Amino acid sequence: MNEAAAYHALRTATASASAEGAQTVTRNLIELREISKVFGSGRDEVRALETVSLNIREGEFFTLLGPSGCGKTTLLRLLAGFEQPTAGQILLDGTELGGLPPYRRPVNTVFQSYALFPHMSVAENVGFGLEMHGVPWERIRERVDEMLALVQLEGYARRKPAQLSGGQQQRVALARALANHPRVLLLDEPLSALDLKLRKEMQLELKRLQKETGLTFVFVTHDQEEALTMSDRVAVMNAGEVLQSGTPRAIYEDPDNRFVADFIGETNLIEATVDAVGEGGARFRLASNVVIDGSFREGLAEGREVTLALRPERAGLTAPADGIVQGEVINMVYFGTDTLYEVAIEEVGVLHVRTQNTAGGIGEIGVGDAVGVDFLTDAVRVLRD
Amino acid sequence: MATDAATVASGEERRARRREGWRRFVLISPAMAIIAAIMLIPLGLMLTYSFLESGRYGGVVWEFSTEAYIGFLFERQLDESLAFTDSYIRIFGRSFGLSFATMAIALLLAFPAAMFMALQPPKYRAILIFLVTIPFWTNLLVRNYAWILLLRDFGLINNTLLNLGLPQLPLMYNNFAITLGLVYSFIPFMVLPIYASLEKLDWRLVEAGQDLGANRLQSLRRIILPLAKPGIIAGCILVFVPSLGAYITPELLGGGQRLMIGNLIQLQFGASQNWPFGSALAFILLATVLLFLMLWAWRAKKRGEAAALREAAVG
Repeated sequence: MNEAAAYHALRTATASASAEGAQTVTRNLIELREISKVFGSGRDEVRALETVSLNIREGEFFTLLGPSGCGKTTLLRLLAGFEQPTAGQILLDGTELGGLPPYRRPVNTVFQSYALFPHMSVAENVGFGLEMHGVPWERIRERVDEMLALVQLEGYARRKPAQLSGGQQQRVALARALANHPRVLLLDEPLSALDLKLRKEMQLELKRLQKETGLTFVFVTHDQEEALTMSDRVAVMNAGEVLQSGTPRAIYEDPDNRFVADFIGETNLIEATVDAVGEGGARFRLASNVVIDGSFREGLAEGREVTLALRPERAGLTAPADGIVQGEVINMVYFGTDTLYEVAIEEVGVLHVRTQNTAGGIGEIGVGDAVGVDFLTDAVRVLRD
Repeated sequence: MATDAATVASGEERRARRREGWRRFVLISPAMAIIAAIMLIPLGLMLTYSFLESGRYGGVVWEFSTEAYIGFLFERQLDESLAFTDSYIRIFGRSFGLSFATMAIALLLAFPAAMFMALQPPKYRAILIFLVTIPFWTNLLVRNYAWILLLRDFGLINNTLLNLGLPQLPLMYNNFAITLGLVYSFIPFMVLPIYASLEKLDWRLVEAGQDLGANRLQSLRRIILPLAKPGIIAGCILVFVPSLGAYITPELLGGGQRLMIGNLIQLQFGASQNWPFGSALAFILLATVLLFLMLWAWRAKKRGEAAALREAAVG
């Protein structure tokens, strides 16, 4: 199939897919099959992506989360067509995208720097994609108005990008990328340049836009909170690999490995040995010889050394005798809604415990007090590494 | 009371402003002095000379005369009547034509070169800039003689053609040779400003354009060219204006047969011994160039307004 025909096929698929709307949420729109990307060669070789496989479903808000340099932006650039994979396939709706230049892909990008054309007005920026596709002027004009209304920038059509604030530029970039009716909207850390308050606003705004348009969003961020609050599903990346993907809840509550547990939220990592394996649960022996109950994971064998993850807010403070483990408060930080206690436990290390500052709480606990730490069986998760 | 305070304040303010103005004058005066010394005084001298009578053996006679300007358009007949002559205008026309061709060809060659340079890794760019400026290290005269060696009837090119059994080409003493020489001499002035504007161009904008559906040609036309426009305009002016006044290249490669303004002016101070006419020619050239630049600026402004109108139609 030649490029033009493939492009036509992809664009026409848009119309039928968006007509079906939200019913087809579980269908895979994008399939990444064992994608690798290597930059440079010889001594300068950089392996940006290492056999990454991912499925992104139609209509979902999908987030690529990871620290800088983890390959998430490279993955996005492969989807946009700015880079070609060294190995592997990218399928959109079952059609291989390999070799298609960016201007033939039904995918649009919101860039981190916004990349608005400085010599064009807001209206010209938003209408640019349609103009490139030969859409008649009066139709472009309608669509531009429609898009500016969508991002609440009516009346800004004739301004130049330099006359807009950061948040407004962000909205123009969004409107410009959406005007083309893309099948997928790619967002490359679009909120990182905004201040905290504006970022929170834009998070809600993005979520609203995604719901209203029913579009598939692929969002790149290094901000774990942003990823958790906005996404339908998240893929956590590090060093060119996808470590875990799933719903925010699954990733937060049941991290697969140390990196995911540590990168997303706060966590206590506790070294232990498997003491006994039972049905639906297991017992673990800590360094202090205390035995605790925890969640079960396949492949656990008695005597194996494992790392346990325990979220600070899933643990509570008690009187020393009532706790599963005992220790001494060595530090506390007051956060308003809750308080973080650092509890030193002999031979185990320091456990972080977060408690809500609710009425009738646990009363006055101060640094130096002896306390017990209590937690439920399913709060203790076993990691794979 | 209140009004008194206001007057005092404004008086104070006035004095502060006067001090500020005086300081500014002191700061810019050295620059002004240099401009006066190297630009205004010679220009004033030239303007004065152009309104004097020419001396018999060169120099000027201090008597007011508009003869030099009349002589540009008219020839004095034996009976002292004036007859229109277009020979000088033709030389001006040829100069403008050749300079425009030089500018256009230089632009067509320089843009891709500048683009290539701007797309290289930074460590190679410095080398490429150096390569572009290398011809400046050799004397212009020597470079033009080098072209003569290449272009003349039994030069390198024609000898090669003859040895291959092909006919000789008339490469010298024509407009082709002059244009070639001028393009060669002035092309760095086109490459460098265009390179400067492309080098600071944000290539992410080009990516954004492609992402939105612009192919290579559309990216060039709608994004790269508009953003490189300041460099292109600077380059065009830097090539066109010195081409107009070029002297050595038309003299050597045009063989003195095809005069350009520069040669004509030189003649007045040399063989013709007519300093006022030479000064007048220089002034007419200056005025014409300024007129063209003003027309250009005016048209650009108009086009800007047209773009604003179109924008209004879209928005």
